[in-house]
Amino acid sequence: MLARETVRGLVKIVGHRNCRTDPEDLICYGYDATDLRYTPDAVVFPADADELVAIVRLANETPFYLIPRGAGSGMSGGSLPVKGGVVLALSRMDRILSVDPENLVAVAEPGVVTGHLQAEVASQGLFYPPDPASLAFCTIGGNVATCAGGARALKYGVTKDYVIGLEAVLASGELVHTGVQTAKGVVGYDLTKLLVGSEGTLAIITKVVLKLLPQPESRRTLLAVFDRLGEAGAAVTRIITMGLRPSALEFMDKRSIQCVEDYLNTGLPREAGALLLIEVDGVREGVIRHAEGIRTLCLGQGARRVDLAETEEAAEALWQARRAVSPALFKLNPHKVSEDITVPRSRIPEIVAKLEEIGRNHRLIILCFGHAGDGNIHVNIMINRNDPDELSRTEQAVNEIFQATMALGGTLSGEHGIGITKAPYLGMEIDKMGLEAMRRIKEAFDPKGILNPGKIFLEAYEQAAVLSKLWKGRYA
Amino acid sequence: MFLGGMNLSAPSEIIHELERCSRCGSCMAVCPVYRETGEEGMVARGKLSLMEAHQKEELFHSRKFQELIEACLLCSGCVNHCANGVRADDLIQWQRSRLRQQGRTSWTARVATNFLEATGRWSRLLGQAGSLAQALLCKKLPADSGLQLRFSLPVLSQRSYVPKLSDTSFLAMVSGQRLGSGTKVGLFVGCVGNYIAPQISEAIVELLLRTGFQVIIPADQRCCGMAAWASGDTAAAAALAEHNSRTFLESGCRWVVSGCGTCSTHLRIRMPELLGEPAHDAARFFSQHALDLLAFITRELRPERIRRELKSPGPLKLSYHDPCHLRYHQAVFKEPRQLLALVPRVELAELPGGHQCCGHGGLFNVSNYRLSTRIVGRKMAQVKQVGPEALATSCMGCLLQLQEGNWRHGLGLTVHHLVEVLLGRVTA
Repeated sequence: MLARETVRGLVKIVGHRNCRTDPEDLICYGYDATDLRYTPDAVVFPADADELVAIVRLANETPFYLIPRGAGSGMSGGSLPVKGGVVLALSRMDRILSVDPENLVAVAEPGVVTGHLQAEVASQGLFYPPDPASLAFCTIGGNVATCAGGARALKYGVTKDYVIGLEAVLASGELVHTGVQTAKGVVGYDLTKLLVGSEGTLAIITKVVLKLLPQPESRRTLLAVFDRLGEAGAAVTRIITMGLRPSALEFMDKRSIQCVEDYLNTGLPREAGALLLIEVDGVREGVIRHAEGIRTLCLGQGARRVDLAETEEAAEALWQARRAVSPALFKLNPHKVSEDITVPRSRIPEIVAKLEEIGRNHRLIILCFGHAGDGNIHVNIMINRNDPDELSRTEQAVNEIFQATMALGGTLSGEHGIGITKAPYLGMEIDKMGLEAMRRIKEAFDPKGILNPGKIFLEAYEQAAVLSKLWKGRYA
Repeated sequence: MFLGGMNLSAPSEIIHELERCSRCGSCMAVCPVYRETGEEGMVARGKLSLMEAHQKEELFHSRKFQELIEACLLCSGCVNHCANGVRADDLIQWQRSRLRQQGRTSWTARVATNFLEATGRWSRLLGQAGSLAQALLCKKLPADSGLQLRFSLPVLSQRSYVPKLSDTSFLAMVSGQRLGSGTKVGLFVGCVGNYIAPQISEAIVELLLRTGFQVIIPADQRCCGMAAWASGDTAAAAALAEHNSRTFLESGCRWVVSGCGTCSTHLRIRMPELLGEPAHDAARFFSQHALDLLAFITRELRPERIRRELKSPGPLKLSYHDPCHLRYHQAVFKEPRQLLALVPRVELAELPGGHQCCGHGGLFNVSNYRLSTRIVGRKMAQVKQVGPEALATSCMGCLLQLQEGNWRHGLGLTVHHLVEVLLGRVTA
């Protein structure tokens, strides 16, 4: 609950229209793409960094919690107001401030939609590679907070590799500038890379300085159809180790293919055991050679056939299908538990076999698809949250999935972040001293603990509440 | 009541449909209102979460709830994009109908729909009186088919541009005529085609006659009822559906064709639902034999046959605007381009950035005028990038909106219905 004078203070900063306490807004800003639901105390829409700084200062003095939010499209609950507080909706800070084609730098506010940034720089012949599947609506700020990836991460890396500088507000309300505007720099501690992926718990980002690339001259997309995922997995390893440098290397298992086909009917082969969707980019001659090399290799590894997309439209249709997998799965069951584990690439066939086994043992629908090229698998368990028994089986399955991942030398999250959905499991991956070091950093940046509480690190007493929210019924 | 395949008779059913939304956010990629505002309450998943809370009595009625439910174009972009197939458009309409029953509809929406519903009965008189009133209150804009209010009225103060009513309505001119010979095609004229742009209706008749059809124009036809339906007045929409159904069935026509993408969608998809089981045969007739003009022409005729009747408007760089209803409800977007390709010396310049709604949304234009203007502003920026000499579309709502957008942004284009371009009737 916020005191009335606190609300008045917020209204004074952003104006009446941009400080909301109506029940309608509290509902609308209490969920994100995990479909978990909480209720904030207020929602504010700052117009610029000055207003944001004033809000943070007020939050620090009062104090109250602040939960930064981009599009609310996160998959791990990062923008959920789990302890109430004020949701900082950054949708009004949506300007691309500058694009410098000569120095290959763009500066953007956090509310810029990723797809819009890509289109804007593309219109100037430039390329912003990170391409999360939700790019048509997710925001740069959210991408920075979770260090979002995407299919192109294989060749081009993740968001962190493109953020060269930031402007951010610390919990005390002080504005800090990190990083550089140049191609290289090492001056003091690398606060930029610390903040990327910190999920809004260390600072609130007001400006992002992004590195761009020139648009590749040419792109080709291939679709390789396999009878068995094991063969596809082996092909993946060979493609990478032979230096054929695809810019994206995605896989879909049988079930995901069928779901997408039910939804979009694009003509993907329903009977396939697994699909590899591969993109090669670069100089035209190189692209043709690499595409041929990949095709030969896949056929050698047992692919039934390898199709090359003839036109840009055909290629785009294939990528649309890939991006549509995640939403398409809802045909199977109304709710989804989504994990984003990453294992060393060569162990993909093993983890997928293990996932299938876990699915069978717990009688759950588990689908896999994702970034085969870097071992990042989106594991989706399609359930009905209104079925308590299914929820409880899912909880066990998730535990086993994480254990199996760790046993293969993997990590709990490749690109979604920890948020709250993986917070109870953090201890599986980070050892005690590691957690302690992180906690000390958090204390240094946010001693009062006002920034995005209840995320990443949970106190013992918080564990039970989060586990209950995740596994004890949809509206617990 | 069944809507869009959903059974919405019981609260548990409604909750079941609302719960199918998983908040994935895909709707945010296509919603024109969200594009302008960036606000959750302005996109499908936000509205659905409010309706769900309302149904579960976790949220009680408020003015804000009503405004958010009314702030939707009903373009169905979200439905088209939703992997779970949640029928947000029908659910929002259902919520509007509930609000209307409770007397909770904004007065602008009520006036607008009552006006349109009444049009059938006072057609001739209304046309003449309206035209006279406009002559007094408005001045004609040069080189445009719109009007500007001479002075701002308190209520309409934001709106200074209004479409000009024709001196005589189309139905008054052609009332009850049967023209030509051949397969009987009933022409559904629609409100704009009747009161504002009779020349478009004339052009449609001419095209149909030239391509060898008999055109029947039932005199007693009325507003299709889309506005009533959209504002939640399902009873009025059902009454209009019943009336129009009788009128057209009695005329003995084999097809019912409309040149307005919204009317044709309503006739083909909503009307059968509104007529329901008791009028099973009539419902089936409309769902199978009511067609948009573009779909009808391209389906029934070979390209060579059509091409013979087309006239070039002279060398013309033209952009085509896809009406949302045609694209999302009838998947009609290749047909207009196929037809334009048959017209000599017309260069079709596609607008960049993919499909972009014009922002009219029928009643939305009345209840959310400023947002509507912003949406068309974005459209006009796209048009400016491409720089055509003319715009064409095949929905009367889009046509009016684009005309206003053209005027407001000083683009100096001409805006036409596609059929006018096909017959070479493009004013320079």
